[in-house]
Amino acid sequence: MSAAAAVSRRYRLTARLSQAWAYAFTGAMVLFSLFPVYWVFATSLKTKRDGLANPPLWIFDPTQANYLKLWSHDTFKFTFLNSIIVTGIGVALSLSIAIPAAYVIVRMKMRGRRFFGAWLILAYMLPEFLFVLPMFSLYQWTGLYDTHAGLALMYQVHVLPLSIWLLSSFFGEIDFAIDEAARMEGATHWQILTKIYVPCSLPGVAATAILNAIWIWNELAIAIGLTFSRAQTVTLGVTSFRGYAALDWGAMTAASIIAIVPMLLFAVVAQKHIVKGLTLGAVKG
Amino acid sequence: MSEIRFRGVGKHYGDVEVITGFDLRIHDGEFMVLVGPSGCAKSTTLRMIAGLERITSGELLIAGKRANELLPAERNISMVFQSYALFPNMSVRENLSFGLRVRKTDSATVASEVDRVTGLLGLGDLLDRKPRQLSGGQAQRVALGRAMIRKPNAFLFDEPLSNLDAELRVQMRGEIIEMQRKLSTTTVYVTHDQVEAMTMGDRIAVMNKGCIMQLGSPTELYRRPANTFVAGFIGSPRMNLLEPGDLLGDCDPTVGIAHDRTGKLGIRPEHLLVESDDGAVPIGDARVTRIEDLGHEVLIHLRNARGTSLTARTGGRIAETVQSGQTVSLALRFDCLHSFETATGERLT
Ligand SMILES: Nc1ncnc2c1ncn2[C@@H]1O[C@H](COP(=O)(O)OP(=O)(O)OP(=O)(O)O)[C@@H](O)[C@H]1O
Ligand SMILES: [Mg+2]
Repeated sequence: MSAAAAVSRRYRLTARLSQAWAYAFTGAMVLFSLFPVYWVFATSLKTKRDGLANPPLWIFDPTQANYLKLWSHDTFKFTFLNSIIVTGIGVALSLSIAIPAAYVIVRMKMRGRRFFGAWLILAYMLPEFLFVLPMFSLYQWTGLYDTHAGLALMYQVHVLPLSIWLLSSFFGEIDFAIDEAARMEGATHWQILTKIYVPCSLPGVAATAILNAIWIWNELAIAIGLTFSRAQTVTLGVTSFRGYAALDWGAMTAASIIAIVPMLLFAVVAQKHIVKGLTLGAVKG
Repeated sequence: MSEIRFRGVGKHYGDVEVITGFDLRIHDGEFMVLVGPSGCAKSTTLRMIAGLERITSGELLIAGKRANELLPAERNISMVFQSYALFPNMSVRENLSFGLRVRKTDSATVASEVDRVTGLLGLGDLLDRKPRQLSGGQAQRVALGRAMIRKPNAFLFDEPLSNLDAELRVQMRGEIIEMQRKLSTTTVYVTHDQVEAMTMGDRIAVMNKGCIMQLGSPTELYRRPANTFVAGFIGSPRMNLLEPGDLLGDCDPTVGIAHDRTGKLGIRPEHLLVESDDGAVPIGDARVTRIEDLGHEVLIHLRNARGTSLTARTGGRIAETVQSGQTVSLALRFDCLHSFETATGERLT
């Protein structure tokens, strides 16, 4: 009895210790990854002189000047708007292709389906620049260069593999008998997709849309390669504070913070969806 | 409402032949049960009628017309799945009306049909619930409602009751039969439960390995099984199937048939008499190995001196006189005997 109690006490102690370790480790990782964000945010609130002080200032007099400067900076506002447009089109395009594609992969017997799955992941691993170089001349030639549509098209291509892959795993969760029941009831494939599959995996679709939006919003390499002025995105807007000989650190960090905000809001609002979507299989299983 | 007919239908998955030369005629308005052990292609047969499974060879006729190439939607047939397959994102009302809505039925008709089916199945309180908020029996009833709302040519059921508990199963069995009698819609019902088969079907097709072993009314199957497979499958507890040398008495199943054939003997448990002698042929003694008292009847498991296991079914009173380990005399009524050819298993008389 007392031996058992001792064992259980020791067990509890070990459990609590390992829990403490887990918390400590997680805390350290959070600090580690949030520190740069904090640094950027702090710099955006500093005057030019405070920002360049060496050693760095931990305590300073915050200023809104950098944010006010952004507000009157047309290029930045313009690129911000461009990003919203390009992200919107890109996400819409990618979903409208990935949703039917995922349905076909999951529900129709297709030759080379497995090969297709492997290819999707492979395509996702290729670096963006591989696409940019050949596309540059093609875009020049077709007139897609430096347009919203052209950029969105390129982004859509790049997020498509992961989208199809994610969506097909969500769709795969749906009992095949439901599909058959719908067919018996007289539904077409399109009706089955829009009236059953998409509504049933809405968290999954939302998660996919959000991941795509975040990726597109933050993309830089393709934006550099395929835009010049009219369709420049916010990531380029941020870099525009890099002058010939000097960097306007204050404005650049303020721009970075502003650029993070939409995706941050997005993530907070949709966090429940993302988690639910990404753990759909795990929870159900 | 229509006749369904298989003419020489074959089905294979890749190289594996599951069904060959399948012939079956299901009459208009009939309740046909397909029963058989797991893997005997009951579901495959049903799904070929539904159009969910491609037919490899032969012909399927629905209402006299070739249906091999018709899409499921074009056959106007309803199916109830084992898992119910309700649409999880839709309310009960939307589930019921889905078939009508995708067929672009006007909303007044949809509403009145939903009312009709709701009334028939007593689903009134559930209309706004989602499938996950339903119990198994309620979900089953909704699936039934979804199947009947369109007035289909035929109903197909694939083991619809196997996810329900015993009591609910009996109740739903009754409801399905009642509904079918009321609508007299051609029905094909798949089950591996012989009690369901016997109680529900107008006719039963007993299947094994993709073939029909016997087709007939429940009574016919029970009274005159066409072969040892059906004899062993229909009836619970199983019929006693014995080789000629298994019994001690002078009981020869090949009496009256040509001498170059050997026979097997089939005795239903209720025709094996324990400690009884009114007009029965004695077949020696046996030791009682186990007694199962079900109240209204008693099953007595026995083993005779030749090591043959037998089961007898008797009325309740015998349980008070017979005990496990005791030796009892056995007898049987000769007119209730079944005999089958050893080599083929076919019925002899
Ligand atoms: N998609 C498939 N590919 C290959 N073989 C299959 C496929 N579907 C079924 N089979 C085989 O066909 C045979 C019949 O299957 P079916 O599902 O019709 O049996 P069943 O009588 O309904 O059995 P159960 O009572 O277990 O449901 C089985 O041997 C099965 O292994
Ligand atoms: Mg089956």
